[in-house]
Amino acid sequence: MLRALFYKEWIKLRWPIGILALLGLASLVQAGLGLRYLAAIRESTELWEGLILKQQMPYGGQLVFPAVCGLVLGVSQWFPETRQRSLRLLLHLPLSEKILIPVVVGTGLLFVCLLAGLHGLGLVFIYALRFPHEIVTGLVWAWLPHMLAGMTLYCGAAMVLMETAWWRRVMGACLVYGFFKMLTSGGQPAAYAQSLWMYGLVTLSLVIMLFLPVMRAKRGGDQ
Amino acid sequence: MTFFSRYAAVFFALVVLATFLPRFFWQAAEGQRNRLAIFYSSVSEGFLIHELDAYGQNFYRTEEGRELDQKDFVSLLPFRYARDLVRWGEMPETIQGVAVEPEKLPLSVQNVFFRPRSLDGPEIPLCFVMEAASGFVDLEMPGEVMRISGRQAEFIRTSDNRVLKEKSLLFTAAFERAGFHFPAQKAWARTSTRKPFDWGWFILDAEGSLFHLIQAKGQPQVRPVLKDFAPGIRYVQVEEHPGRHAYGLLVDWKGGVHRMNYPDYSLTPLPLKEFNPSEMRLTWRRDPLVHHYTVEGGDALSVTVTDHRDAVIREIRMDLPPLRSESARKAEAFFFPFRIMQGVPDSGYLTLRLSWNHDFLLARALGILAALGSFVLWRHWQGRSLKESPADWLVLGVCGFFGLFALLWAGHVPGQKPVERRAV
Repeated sequence: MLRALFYKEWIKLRWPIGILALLGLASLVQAGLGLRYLAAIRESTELWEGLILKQQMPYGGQLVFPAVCGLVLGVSQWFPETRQRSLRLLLHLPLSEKILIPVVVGTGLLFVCLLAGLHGLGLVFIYALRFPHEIVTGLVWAWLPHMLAGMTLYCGAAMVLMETAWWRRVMGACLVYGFFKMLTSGGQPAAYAQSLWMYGLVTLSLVIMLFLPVMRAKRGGDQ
Repeated sequence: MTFFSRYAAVFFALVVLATFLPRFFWQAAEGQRNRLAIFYSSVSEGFLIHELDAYGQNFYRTEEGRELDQKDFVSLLPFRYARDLVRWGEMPETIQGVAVEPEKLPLSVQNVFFRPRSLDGPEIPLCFVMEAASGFVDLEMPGEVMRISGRQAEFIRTSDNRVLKEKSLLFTAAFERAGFHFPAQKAWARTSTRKPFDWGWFILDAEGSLFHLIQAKGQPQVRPVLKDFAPGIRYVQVEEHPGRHAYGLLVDWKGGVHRMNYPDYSLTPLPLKEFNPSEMRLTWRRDPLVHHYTVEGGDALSVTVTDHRDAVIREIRMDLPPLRSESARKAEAFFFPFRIMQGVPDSGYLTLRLSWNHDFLLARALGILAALGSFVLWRHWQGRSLKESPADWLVLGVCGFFGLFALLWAGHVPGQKPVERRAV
């Protein structure tokens, strides 16, 4: 049953995953070429000075990718499930919702992490070819909150689509946007290094709360 | 599972609301005040005040309140406005018996600014160690960076990201000879080519001792500066000034600020009362006659003036009109029993720091009662029992209106039926 459920999610997500994979690849090619161009037009010392002293992030544009993955996969996975109250059909599968929902949400998040993770590894590889591990570690610190932002947008999209009341959708979207801004407002690579676990905890709370709108859709809740 | 999920939703909403609502509140409610600066005039031996209002209009006056025009004000501060006075031919030849030589003023006038944000922040632990004795007038950024990790200092060439082994061994040996314990905890310098010369790096070793590293003609010079400094070293602000009066400022973990004197690295505690480096800004101005220390923080501005032997000459403290009115602070206490701050004054990191509101106990208590009352009304309107989800009352009691909004958004536990109302 679980394999069938996973396969069902894969059928829904395969096209968006394919498109996002191509987009990620293009983004990595652009990152590599951009860095090569930067190294060609600027002296190496000037480039390193920018990265170390001014804490510039030439990879800043590429950090949007996890958020795009989260939003696209969240919408692609949950929009078909929530049209015309079809979420109840999902809940009529012969599987407890305590297993069903974590599997469905986990599948979506797994693909978000996989796509964004591979993209992040690609970025790390590109920068590790030219720079020492201190600068690459800075990239990883900059990437991690964006990864959480991707998971936040995935959960946000799922939550907004699943909610049964309009006012709750609007408020939920505002809260998710607020947290997304909190995760992406750092102007320095390691700005979140001291408290990333706290941001991770808040993201985890958003993942766990997804059970609530599902149960509201199943059992009927207040509007 | 639904129970955990509901409180996870409440927690998520609480974090976001407690971060943004107080921020929006103060963006709307915080007032404006005129910018104020206080200077000590060695000519009149009194304080002068410069005020700039919201419309860009300047006001100048003495500490007694006598209005001055701009030219009188400038004339009373000859070290600050030396170029203007020289152009007008009004530079005094002597002040307090000390001869004034305008061409030598750049060597004796120094301004140092300290901001709490400098104390801590994300950084990439690689150091550009400049050549301090190149023989050329202009400084240049070196083509390699140094890392001090593990048991050695390593130099990495920027052009090809390769470790320079000979140079690394040379510097590691110099560190070891000086008694440095690897790895470094922190390193401070003013890494810029826009300075008159280079004083290199001040480096805190693994045991909390401070060392000074300079590269001269490719050779390392490592000097032990401070050992067994009881309060512990929090921050060093290096200041390369052509007068070479001091290496800079040193902030310890007990909040003390010291001037690190040139050339013997001796520390002189600055005569600052109630100075908190984590929250307040400090400006140190040195001129040929006195030191001014200006502290800005909270709603006060204070200036201490000492002579060059660090004996206090004059002090002044001016309370500024508060940016946050009492009624706005009461409203804050009513609505927000706490807040979560992402940015804090003494760090460049983005944290999630919880800060409880300790003002106006009555307003806070009323706010929580109002939140509880609103929740009771809401439950009544929804036809829900007050006994449903008893932990909600705890959330409301601790979080007030944040808790109310979070609980409204999370809603009731799905599946629980409303209480049947009696027919009238």
